[in-house]
Amino acid sequence: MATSTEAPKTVTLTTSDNADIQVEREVAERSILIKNLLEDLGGDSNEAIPIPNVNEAVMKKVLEWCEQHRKDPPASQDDDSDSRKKSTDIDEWDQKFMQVDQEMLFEIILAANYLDIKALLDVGCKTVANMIKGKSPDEIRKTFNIQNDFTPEEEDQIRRENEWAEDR
Amino acid sequence: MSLEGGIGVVVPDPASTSSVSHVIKNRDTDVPSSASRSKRARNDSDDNVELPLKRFRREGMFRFLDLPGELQNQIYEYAVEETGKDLLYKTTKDSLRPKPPIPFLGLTQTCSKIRSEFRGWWMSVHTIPLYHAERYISSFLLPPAKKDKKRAESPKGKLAIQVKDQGMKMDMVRILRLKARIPDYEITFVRGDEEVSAEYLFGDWGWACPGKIRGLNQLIGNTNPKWLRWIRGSLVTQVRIDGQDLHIVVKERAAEKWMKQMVLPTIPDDFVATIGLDGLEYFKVGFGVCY
Repeated sequence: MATSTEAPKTVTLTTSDNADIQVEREVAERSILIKNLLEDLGGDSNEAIPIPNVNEAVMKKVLEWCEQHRKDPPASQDDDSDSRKKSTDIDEWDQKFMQVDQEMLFEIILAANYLDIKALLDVGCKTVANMIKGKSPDEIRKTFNIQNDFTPEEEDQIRRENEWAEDR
Repeated sequence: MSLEGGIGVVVPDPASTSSVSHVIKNRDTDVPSSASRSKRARNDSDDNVELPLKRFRREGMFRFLDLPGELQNQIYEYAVEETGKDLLYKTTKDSLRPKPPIPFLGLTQTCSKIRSEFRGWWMSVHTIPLYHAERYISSFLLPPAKKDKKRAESPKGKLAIQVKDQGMKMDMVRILRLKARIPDYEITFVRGDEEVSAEYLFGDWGWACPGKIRGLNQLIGNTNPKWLRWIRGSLVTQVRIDGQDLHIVVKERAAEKWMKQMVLPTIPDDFVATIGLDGLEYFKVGFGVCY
């Protein structure tokens, strides 16, 4: 018989580097991918869930976010609408959470996409957008490891754009 | 989720508590490495393709160009949202104060791939005051050099031109030529937000009155074949706006006989309709000849 003191249900996730991570089911189910997998496996399966595209370090970071947001309302169909995308504001906890090195930020975004955690993906993409908002082309190239491949004619047009930006 | 593994090792944050616990197990199962799996997951056909030079891995980098297209688009989308919040032209009384940078201009100038994907989208939320439209057009909307045409963005997009300057005199011909050159580019005149003022509400409706805005939009949207021939063929040298007057100056070879009268030519009743400007709101059309 279920009682109020019953331990929360947990699930085990196996990451790409073969680490097993035990986590409360409610936390793991912030990921729609994991939620669907658990539903497919049936109610009380103790089987480990393989997460072959995410390594342990990234998975732990993602689960840290899921833990913080475990009580958030579930993502709805409307989350795909424009309302979700109106603002690049990021709440304070998420801002601190995203203060990671850029490689980790990249991995978190890929993981959020793979695990289907829309809210985390949004935070990641907004963080990148905010990160490049005021940067010069050179700074962005360094950040993204991109080479300048413009033709002289394109460089001319860029020069005109910059003159306009200066003189406006 | 490394693409090629081994690089970008991240030490788990020891402060990261939560209900998460972990146990590392060595398994003997036949599981491919995370590197090969994740790479396959992203692109089955790329396993043996060498990455171009600009994509070489460097630790600690955010490999933007390695993100799937839909995630790049999502970042672009936020960038466009941010850009749309700002008027690009901000007047400041203090000429010494540095102007704030234009949001994401730097991103459009990073490399040809990002430029071709993002610039048109980014420009579609630009709002420019009318008196700076010409300069903007010559900076941002000039046709690309022939050899760059293939990789230049499609001339589809949007530009809002804000009309807020009362009593301004302006030659519209360059904007009309631009529209004729890239008809798919949506150019609209909009009222400046700052225009809801006492003058606007009580009498002098100035430049921002709704009729003026509609008239300007009729003018820019005029697709009458003769009018477009005049504009595209540079047979019109000026379309000058001064208050309610819209003065069209045509080259002598395109001019009608009556236009060449020295004193106040009388416009035949049906002529304005032949160039698609009948029913033009607010403006009174007049003609002149450039000899």
